[in-house]
Amino acid sequence: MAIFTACDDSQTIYRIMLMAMSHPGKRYAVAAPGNDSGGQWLILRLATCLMDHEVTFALSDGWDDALHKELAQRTGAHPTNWEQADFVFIAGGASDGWAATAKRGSLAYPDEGATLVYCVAALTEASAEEKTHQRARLTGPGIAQPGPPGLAGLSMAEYNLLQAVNADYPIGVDAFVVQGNQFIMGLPRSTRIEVK
Amino acid sequence: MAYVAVKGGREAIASAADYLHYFQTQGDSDPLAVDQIQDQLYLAVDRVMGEGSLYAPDLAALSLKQSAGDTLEAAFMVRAYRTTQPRIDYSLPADTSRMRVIRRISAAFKDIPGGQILGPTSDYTLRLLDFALLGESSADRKRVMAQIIDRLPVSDPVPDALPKVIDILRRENLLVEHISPAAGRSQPDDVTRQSITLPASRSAALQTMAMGETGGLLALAYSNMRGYGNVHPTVGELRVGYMPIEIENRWSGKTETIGHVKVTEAEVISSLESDDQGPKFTLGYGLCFGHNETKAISMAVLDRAMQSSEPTSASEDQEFVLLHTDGVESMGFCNHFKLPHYVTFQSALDRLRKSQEKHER
Amino acid sequence: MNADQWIKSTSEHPFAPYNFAFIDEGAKREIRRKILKAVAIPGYQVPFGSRDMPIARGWGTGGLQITLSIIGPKDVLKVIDQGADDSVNAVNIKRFVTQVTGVALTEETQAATIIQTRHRVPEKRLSSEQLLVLQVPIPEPLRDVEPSERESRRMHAEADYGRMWLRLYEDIVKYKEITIGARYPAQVNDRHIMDPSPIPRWDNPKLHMAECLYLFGAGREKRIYAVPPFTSVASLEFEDHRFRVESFDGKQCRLCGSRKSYLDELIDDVNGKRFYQCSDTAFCAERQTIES
Repeated sequence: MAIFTACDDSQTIYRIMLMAMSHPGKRYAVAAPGNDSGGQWLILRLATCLMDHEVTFALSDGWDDALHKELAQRTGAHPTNWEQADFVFIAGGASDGWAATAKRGSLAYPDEGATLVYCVAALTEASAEEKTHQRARLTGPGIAQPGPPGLAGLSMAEYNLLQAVNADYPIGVDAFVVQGNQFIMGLPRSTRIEVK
Repeated sequence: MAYVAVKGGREAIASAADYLHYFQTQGDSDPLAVDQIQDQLYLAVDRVMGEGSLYAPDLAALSLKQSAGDTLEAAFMVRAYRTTQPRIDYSLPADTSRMRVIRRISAAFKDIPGGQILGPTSDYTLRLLDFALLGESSADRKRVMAQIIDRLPVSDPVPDALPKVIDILRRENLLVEHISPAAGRSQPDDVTRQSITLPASRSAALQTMAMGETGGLLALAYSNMRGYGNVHPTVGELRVGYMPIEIENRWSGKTETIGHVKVTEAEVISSLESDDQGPKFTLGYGLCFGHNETKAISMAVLDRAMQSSEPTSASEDQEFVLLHTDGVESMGFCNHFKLPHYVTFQSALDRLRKSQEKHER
Repeated sequence: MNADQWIKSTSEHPFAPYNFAFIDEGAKREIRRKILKAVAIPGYQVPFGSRDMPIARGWGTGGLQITLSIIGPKDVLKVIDQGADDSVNAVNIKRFVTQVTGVALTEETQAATIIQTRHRVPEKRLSSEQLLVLQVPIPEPLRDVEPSERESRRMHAEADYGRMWLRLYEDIVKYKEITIGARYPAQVNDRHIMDPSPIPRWDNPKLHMAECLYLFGAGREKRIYAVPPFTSVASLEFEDHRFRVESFDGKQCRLCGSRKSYLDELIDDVNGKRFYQCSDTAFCAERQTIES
């Protein structure tokens, strides 16, 4: 009955993702299964939950080669370039400007904009930004109190980039930030990001 | 003092189901066997397969029994079943010139390569009720069948493939060929997977019509034929027959035939249009499951009509045709008006009363 | 019970050959993707590949597909129609859902994790843990002023809403009132004008800065849209003709005495008198319990 266990997993992960996208900036904990939770368990669960042969994906630099094959085989999604991908997986908290090339949809069909998935590792030391006291402040739909994101890991430059990419709402990209196998945070294009 | 009870929803549904079963079970007639429907009401089965968008004659026959002959309900049941079936693959494009025809005619030419094959048609029958059928027995049916076989003339078998009549026009450069920007892409659009976007691609439009309701398509096509449009159709070719369905075996890479489906295909020649080589005929195309000529011809007329660059009537308006001819959707929405609407009605009453108050001032 | 256990328990069941929650995983994935986009673009109608359901088009297949795509074995489901838990259509829907998922059902608003509803929002404020799924017959707020989907989509793309405002203005000129009853249009996140489904005007304010997520499903028209929590939802109005909810001045619920809920008007079939009852039957039942 392995497929039905996967069905159960998908539904559980999806509800967390739905909450994350509905409450941008809040971090949501994911209960990993007790047994083998390899380094990319959460990414793969997220992928199998949402992706199949009807969508395309791209990877940034920084991933090991196995992920590409895993994603294609497990989901049936088609690999393509950044400009055409429905899903883009970014290793780390910065896309080096590449987020600006992802699909943003059109005014008539803004939903065709891409979904970016940033995969950040748990932080162990304060980042350079934290040392200079730069902070991102989020406002918009889903956010009860304007404030900083609950999950660290995206660079301030990346927040600025996302703000710029999503400046022409409703066209834009939507993002998830995944920290290891533990936390998910959502950043829809409707969120306004201020870096101070 | 009595007041309106709001309990009893569950009991009401159960009773309604019983009452429906009562009407389906009453009387002294023998139970209708599904194979009888499949054999003897085969045109209803064909219609339901087309509108249900699932080639499964036995299931279509079952749905007709279950729905007591309501073809809208029957198609609905088949569609609901279709939803549950896993999607394994898409077939390779089927070449209908390889159809094993049982009927093949053209109104455009008196004689055509391969000949006019009249086939099983009611076109030239007299629509006089046959009261002998009231007492038909199995023995009668066997006897009639024996007589048919006996009377069969000796003739050459129908070839497995017949050339297309419109190829005559193509060869003489008399037909406009529309090569859409989408041609050459690996897959056609599938409106059962992605909702239709407008303007729709030709594949999306044809697929939508292929699962459309026969009466709805007929009404719109008829309006065009009568003058709300200018398709002025001539049936270039109408074919009914069994088409092989082929897939590419993912492991061996070989092409395999997985079965045959009975289809009706209509190619309708329409009014003139100019391309850079001068005036030519244009073509409308229709294809549906089973033997359903009215639907195929209507589809072909509407296919052509919807290619008008300046729609002047409903049949030429792609959005109008494609959004209003699905039987399951239209029947569902029509009947949903029977659902309670008292909250919205209360809101409307409030507005009316307020407006009346203001009117009186 | 998890999906595995559910499958084993239903092997004798008529729905045994079907997937958990009836629709296949591929269909669920597409709907899930579209829901996320809907949440990211509040009030914008996302097209989706709406599947045929055993329940007729126009009878809640959109809401149903959303519910079936998000529901899990641990959810507790409430289904209402016109605010009532045992309206015939609500009963039919929840019977189907529970047969294909095994989820527990409830009539208590606060006990539900997912509430599927037709034409009402529960009177009780929903929490951030709850999801409201609304059944939508006509998702397009501009449909009355523009029959063409292509054109209405263009109007949303360009925020060209002049004709909607004109329609409201013409009402005022003709009737001195905006005569739209239910389906009162609202602007979401200062951008997209949305049809809140045929909920009465009474319920429109509940969408503004709510704590829960609102999901809207139109199965026949094949559109999904959403209002996230803490989102601005502004019912259209003019400065001198403000948005107004229905008036129940001087009226109260015959059963629980409430003066602060949407009331159904009923005629006593014995003496022909008019009386009023809470449309939200669970809200009313709870009030009656408290009072007794």
